[in-house]
Amino acid sequence: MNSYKIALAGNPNCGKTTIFNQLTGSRQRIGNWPGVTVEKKEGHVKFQEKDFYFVDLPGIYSLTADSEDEVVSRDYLLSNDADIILNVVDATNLERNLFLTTQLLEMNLPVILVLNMKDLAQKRHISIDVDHLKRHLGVEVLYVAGTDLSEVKEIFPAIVSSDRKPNSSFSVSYPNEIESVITKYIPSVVSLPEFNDNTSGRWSILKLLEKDPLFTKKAEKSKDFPYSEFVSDLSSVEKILKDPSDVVISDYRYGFVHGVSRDVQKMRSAKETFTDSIDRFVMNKFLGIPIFLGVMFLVFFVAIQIGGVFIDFFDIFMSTIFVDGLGSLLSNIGAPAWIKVLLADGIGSGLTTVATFIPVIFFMFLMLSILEDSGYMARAAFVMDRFMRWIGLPGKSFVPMLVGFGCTVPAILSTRTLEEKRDRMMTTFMVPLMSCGARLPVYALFANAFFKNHAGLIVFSIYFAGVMLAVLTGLLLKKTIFKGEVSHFVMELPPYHTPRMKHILLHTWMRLKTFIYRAGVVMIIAVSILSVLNSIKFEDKKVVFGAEQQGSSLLEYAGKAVTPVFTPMGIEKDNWPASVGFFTGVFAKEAVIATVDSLYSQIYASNELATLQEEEEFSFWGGIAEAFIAIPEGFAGLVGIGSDDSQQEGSNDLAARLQDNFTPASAYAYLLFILIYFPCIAAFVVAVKQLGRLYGWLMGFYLTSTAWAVSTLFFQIAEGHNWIWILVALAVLGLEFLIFYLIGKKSKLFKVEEID
Amino acid sequence: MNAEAEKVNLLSNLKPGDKVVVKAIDGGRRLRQKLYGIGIFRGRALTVIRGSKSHPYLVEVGGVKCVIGSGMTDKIIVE
Repeated sequence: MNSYKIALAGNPNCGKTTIFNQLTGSRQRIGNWPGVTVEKKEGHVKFQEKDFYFVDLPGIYSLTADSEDEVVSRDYLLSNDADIILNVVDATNLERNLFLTTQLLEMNLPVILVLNMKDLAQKRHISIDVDHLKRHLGVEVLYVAGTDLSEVKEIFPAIVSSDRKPNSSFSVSYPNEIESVITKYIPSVVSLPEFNDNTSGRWSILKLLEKDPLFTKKAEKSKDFPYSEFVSDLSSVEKILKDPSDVVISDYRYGFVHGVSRDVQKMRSAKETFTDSIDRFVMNKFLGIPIFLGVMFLVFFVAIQIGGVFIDFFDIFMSTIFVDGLGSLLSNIGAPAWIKVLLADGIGSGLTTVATFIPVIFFMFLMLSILEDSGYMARAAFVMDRFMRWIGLPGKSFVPMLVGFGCTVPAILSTRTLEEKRDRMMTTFMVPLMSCGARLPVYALFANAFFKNHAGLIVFSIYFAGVMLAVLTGLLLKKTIFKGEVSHFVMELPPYHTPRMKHILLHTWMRLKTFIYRAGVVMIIAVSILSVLNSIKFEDKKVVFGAEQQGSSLLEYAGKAVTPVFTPMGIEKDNWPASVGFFTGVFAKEAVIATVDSLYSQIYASNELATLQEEEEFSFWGGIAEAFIAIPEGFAGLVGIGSDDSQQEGSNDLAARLQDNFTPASAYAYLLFILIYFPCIAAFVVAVKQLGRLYGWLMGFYLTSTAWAVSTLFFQIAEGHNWIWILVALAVLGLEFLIFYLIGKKSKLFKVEEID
Repeated sequence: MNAEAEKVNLLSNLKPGDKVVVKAIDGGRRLRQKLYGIGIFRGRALTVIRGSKSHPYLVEVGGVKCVIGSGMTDKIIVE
């Protein structure tokens, strides 16, 4: 055999991912397990002319608690897809880790035990008798430090020399009452295909005795399994043992594990570790929250400010190549106008827009990976637990919310770390209200144009409005759709360690790659459509192409047609570019500025008969050079040197035009709408993945109608004073509440299985 | 388990520094199994590091630190 399929299984924080990364390098692929949002990592390596396919299973503590991660792992293991299971075990925490190992061995799987964290164990004076452990478990055991590549490489020959045969003699012995039930029912399950396991039935009956929902359902449905007889046997066993059978089984497993680890492991009593001393501060009653806020400020500062420094670079660099460069190339070779419009103005500028996201997202992912890898993330959840619980979520949900201030896409992706489906869905609903970085430039532009002296305060008030709405949304969801108790959580606090740069960069890169790919495809399609629409013009009943042509574009007709919908929030009919801005904002929120700017300039240019701006001679290398200059300029701006010329230039015209078209009240209402309405397509796509199509669209509908109602309320109270619109807006909010209430009553989808 | 509700000592009544042994888990299968996985079960010694009523508890058990959410702490009976 020259090809091996290997699955990695182990507890969270056992160093499984480090070993996976060492084994596969960057040749990995991140995807999803079918049907769930649990991340699936795969990698392929060639070693000594042999193919090794690795699958990284989600980190789990056991195969009995039915979390999504455990179900995914168990189903995969039961499918016998893998030739070998590498069970990674943390040597510093042998007993707890072997609890899972026992279950893998009971399933009669071909396991190789990889005892990890040798370095850390030695530092803590824990010594392990590897040969003895091998004899106890009857499987191959390797003792490695996951950070040491040469040691990890030993895994390859071990895989080759193992004959993929499980240790079929392994079993934990249970009390006689349980053993006799197993013996009694083995004949009934052996021939049934639904209980097909590697243990000729023992494992399936154990699962039934543990009241595993999946196996119980199978047994209930099966015509040939004497289910009612089994249930009565089970209850008489429980009566004799005076405990639920799953408790007895788990106790005996731990009993076995305890015996093994006492035998093979010697340790001195632990002193206070480095981790303990840090936690003394980080999780302190008084210091905890200030430290947490400080850390979060740092994350933001790096992502938005440092990341922001590189935005101009990507913008200018990409548009020089793909918009102007490609455009002039196409003109030079005499390509027809519509090709140029589609490729350069459409797809080229779409790619540019995606690229401007890269730096902020890269730094955001980087900071989050550092926080995760260092072990701080789990502490933050502890600190924020009380506040989040009030909204109806566990402390852990706070992390995605924070990420949402950077970008909604990674925020929704990071809800994957939450254990309960209800928590993931509820958090996904709330995350878009955390104002993302792309919306900031829109606020800044309007705030400077209308509220010059209080611009900072205005922008802050918008962010604050978003947070308040998120809290209200949380409370509404808690009372309607996502009823049920806040999930109980137990979470291990991993020891702190210095972030491993290689691991973090790899992690960041894998995530960034996924994002670029996904956002890129969507953006290319969306921006292409928009720029084509803007280029199809009607002049004297003739259709002409090109944004520079005279006449009204298709976009203008569409814009004028939808504007009345936004009139109650202060957008006049002539201000149709503002409505088009909402439309383009769905593709990318910062596109609102570009849309409004370019549409106003076209209108004003034709109205005032102003001389057309002399188009600058296009210079490819000039553009590239300008892109690189933008980086030091960005840094200079960051530390406050230099002026904001680049920002102000040209935008004064825009400010004046905005003042022509908006009043301060309608401008603020416009910003409120931008804050709340439909998330950008990239975010929506991931939200739908998380929520399902039905709830994804419900979220989009909820956000958009709330945006309309809130903006209308604000405008009518502040300026319009039209009580009919006020009533309509209130009615819209009431209707939302009613719909949510009805869904909450009807839907059994979210009766989250209570853990009590 | 519920009969002597008034006499039982719950994890949520403990103070930092308290060292106790877990006596029982007053909860359903799923909760129990979650706690088994992380290493909290009958007979286990447990040390409270941080925590107070209606806050999550930070405990040390079997050399591992873990956070137990408030609500869950009412279901762990100790002695």
